[in-house]
Amino acid sequence: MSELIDKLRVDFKNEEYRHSYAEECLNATIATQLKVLREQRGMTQEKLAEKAGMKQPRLSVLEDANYANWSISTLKRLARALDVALSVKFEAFSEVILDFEEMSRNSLERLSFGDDPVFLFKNVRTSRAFRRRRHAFNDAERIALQGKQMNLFSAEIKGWPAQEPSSRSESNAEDAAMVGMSLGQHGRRQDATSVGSVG
Amino acid sequence: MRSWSERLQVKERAKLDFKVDVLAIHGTQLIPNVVSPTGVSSIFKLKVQGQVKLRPMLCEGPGDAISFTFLLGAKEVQFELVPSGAPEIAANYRKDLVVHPTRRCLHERANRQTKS
Repeated sequence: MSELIDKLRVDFKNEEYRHSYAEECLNATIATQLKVLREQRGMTQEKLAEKAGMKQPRLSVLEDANYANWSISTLKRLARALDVALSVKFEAFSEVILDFEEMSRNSLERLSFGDDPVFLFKNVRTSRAFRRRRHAFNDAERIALQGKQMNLFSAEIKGWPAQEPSSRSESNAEDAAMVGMSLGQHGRRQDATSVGSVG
Repeated sequence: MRSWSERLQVKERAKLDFKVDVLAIHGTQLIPNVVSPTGVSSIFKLKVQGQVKLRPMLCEGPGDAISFTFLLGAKEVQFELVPSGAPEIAANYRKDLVVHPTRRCLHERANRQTKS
């Protein structure tokens, strides 16, 4: 069970509290993902701002977790500049909290259209089951990159859902694309920290 | 900190709790500008936006690099810190804490004595 949800269980019974908390969570997530996506592409704030038709100081403000006055239209401009789709969804509070708790650089990175293997190659697995599995692979890869469990890394590759590719060369290309995609996501989960106060 | 936060409005308290949870779960590396400098070395502030802006002061450690200690509950009213000179007061608390580490206690949320 999530430690954070346990902490929030009582407070979230208050409508004002849970909506204020979730709004802060949204602001922080937007700022963090903008920064992560920009860094994933090796772009400076100046470069991304230029592509999105805004000034660098404006982008700097949007990458601040304390900023709350962003708009959907601004995010759409940034999505276009980053060559990703913008997805806006209504969610249950539990989903928001669990996603936030598990948030990492890895979980926030997204491929540009030009790097997306689903559009690059035929026969790339797109089932929901596989997409879930792909995230599990990313976690295994993260552990492997930390030099702890290389075997787990290999086992996850072998364990992908089988689907017969139309040709051998296409199969190789597909696997290469998948491995390349995952190796591009070097997120590290931060170690939990403790917070205290002077009594 | 707990008695200070118990006097806050629900909305402000929710925002403050979120920032504390960010620190506890993700530290300062992943989420940009979770803490801001104060102009006084080693003292940072959490920024909680609202009509009255909360600016609780804290430091890293001071004993280790993966914990934080709140030193003072402060707020900002019309761009003025209340209490005035809050970063300096926090810096003095930090010095006191280095000498007397047992004064440090686990964070407690308002209303509930949940330790984080």
